[in-house]
Amino acid sequence: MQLRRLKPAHGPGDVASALATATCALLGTGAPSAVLAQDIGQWQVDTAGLYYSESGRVSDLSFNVLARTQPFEDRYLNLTFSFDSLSGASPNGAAPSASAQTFPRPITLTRTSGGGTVQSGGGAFTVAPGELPLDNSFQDTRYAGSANWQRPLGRLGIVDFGGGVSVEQDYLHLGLDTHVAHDFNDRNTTLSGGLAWSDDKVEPIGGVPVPFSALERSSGLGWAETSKPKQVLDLLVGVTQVLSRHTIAQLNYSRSQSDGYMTDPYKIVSVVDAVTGDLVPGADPGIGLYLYENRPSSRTKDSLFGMLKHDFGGNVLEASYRLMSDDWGIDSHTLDMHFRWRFSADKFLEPHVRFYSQTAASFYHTVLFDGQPIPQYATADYRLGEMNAVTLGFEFGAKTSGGQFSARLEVYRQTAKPSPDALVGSLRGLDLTPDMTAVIGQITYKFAW
Amino acid sequence: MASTCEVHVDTADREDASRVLGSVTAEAQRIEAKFSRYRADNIVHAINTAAGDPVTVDEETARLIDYAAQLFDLSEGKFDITSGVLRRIWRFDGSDRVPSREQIDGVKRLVGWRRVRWERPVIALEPGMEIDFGGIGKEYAVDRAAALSAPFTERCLLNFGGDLRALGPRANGRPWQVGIEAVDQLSTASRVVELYRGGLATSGDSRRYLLKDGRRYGHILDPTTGAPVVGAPRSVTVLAETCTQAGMLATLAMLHGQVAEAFLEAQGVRYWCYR
Repeated sequence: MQLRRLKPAHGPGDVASALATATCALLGTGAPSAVLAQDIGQWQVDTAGLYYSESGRVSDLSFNVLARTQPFEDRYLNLTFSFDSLSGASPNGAAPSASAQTFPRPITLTRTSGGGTVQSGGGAFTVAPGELPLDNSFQDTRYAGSANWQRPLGRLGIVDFGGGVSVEQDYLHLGLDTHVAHDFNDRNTTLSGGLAWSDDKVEPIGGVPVPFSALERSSGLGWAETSKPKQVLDLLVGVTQVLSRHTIAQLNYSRSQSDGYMTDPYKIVSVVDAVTGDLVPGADPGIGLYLYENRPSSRTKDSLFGMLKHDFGGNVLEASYRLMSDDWGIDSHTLDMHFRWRFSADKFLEPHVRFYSQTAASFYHTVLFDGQPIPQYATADYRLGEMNAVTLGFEFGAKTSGGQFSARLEVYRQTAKPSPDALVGSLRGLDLTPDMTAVIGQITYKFAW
Repeated sequence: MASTCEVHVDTADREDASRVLGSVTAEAQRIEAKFSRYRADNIVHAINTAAGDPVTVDEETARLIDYAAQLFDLSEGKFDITSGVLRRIWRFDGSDRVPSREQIDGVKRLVGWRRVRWERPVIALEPGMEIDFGGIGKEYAVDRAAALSAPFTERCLLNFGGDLRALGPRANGRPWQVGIEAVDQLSTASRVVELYRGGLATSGDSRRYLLKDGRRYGHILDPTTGAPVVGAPRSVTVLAETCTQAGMLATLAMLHGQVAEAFLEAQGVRYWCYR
């Protein structure tokens, strides 16, 4: 029997690499530099799935898609879509108490289009002594979409126009924005400016609570208003400067002016005895006195943001600092650092650390006191109190044959402080603002389509 | 080169620009004069008309012949610089004149790299055989001219009839925008590639074909059959480090016919196929 010699088949990339070597010999040059090119006219699609979970509290699952294309030279179209599903337990604003607390879910009437009314709410939930009251009925779904068109403005400038919509069960956001940027100094300096305007509508489930009205079984029946407007105008100016072949710096200033309804319609403030710290009884038997919070209808924020990015031969360090100050009395500092370490030609590991610190809003009161005049504004929302937070995490990324994959895992730890006036009587022995830990997991995949 | 040759130089220095232009033009003309099969005063003509006698070639010609020999091996005989004679019977003029089996067999006897005696620097063809660098020459000229421009500026793009090479991005660091035409839309670029650095070449030409009994014969000839490759894409564009590599990969893909895309996928290169 005669054995036939099989012709060796060319393996993947064999022909290309043999050809590369042969071409070098033909041209009599050294190995040419690697190809650097990208397609336009195609869609670059970024997809991301994000999971955020606070231990014992809310979790959020979101899915985001960003699609970008360049239909003509120097013109770009960006489209985004996102879907969020939030559920779990959220602090309702009430402070922990030395005794058990019961919270009614107010009965509310919703007018239907047919002219009738639908009753909802009712029932109650109880929180153990010393525990932070969490309302576990929290559930929301958000859909958001936006479009942005970018085109050149002269030879050295660009301008973009965008619009976005997001819809929740109780919130509607409409936004418009525009930005311009112009290069100077051999394109080493870029000056930019932006303007964003949004028109939102808050439609609390069950109606808009009357500020400082008490949380009672029947409290919702007296609410006449069903929705409230809110407008935000943002202005941004910035400069980006190339400092060297490997370093760029950016400095931005922004002012944000919000007007309208900024109260959280689901948050309340406990009313306690100024000496004992014990909860004052309310109108319903067995239920304490809790008042719906009230926030100012105007807020002005100023932010200063500085960023430095340096390339250490393919490994990139990005450090940024943000200072924010508003007329609610909140000053915050954010320090953020990323280091992208490319440990191979197509893989990276990126550790991330972020420190955040803020002072409390002037009307932040962990509790209100019985017998004292009600202030003009008050909230016990820990997000407006003094707090510090640290985020630690890393991201791993790899190029695959079809695109780019990355996975991010982060841990967020937040410590908040009660307002100093709250440390009276029985409250002194309680942890009024327990620390909170959250984990963030994200998977992204980018591909051309 | 039988096509438009463009040199794009992005510089504020007129001297540099004219030096680049001068050296590119000189190199393109030199290569065309030396390797064109349409001239009677060059090395190709000398080899093809030696009637079996050995011809000693210069170093550059030897390198091109070596390269062609490697391509012959890599393509398992489908890329063959002796296959040009097939064009005597295949004229891709949009007509329906498909040659007969006898005509094909008659010409095929003059095709076959294995029958060429090549002992560097001496080559000898059998009488009647011809070699032709048409499949390599244009891409080679682009890369050679690019190498001569490099000392003056890397901010240049050379485009010889759609086969091109960018040495580096434009002066402002932005890429060159290169359109890749789809075969059925000759005038409008259907895809645009932003090229910072590298070579891009296209094989295939929608204007060159034969049409008989509803069957389209593309202009890529397979020397092993003596006929156009069956099922080849209308055009293949490949992106590679150099224009020559890109051009050879595009040609090899064409020779793979129906499985052109699979071949290119396996090479891990960026490509655009139109069918």
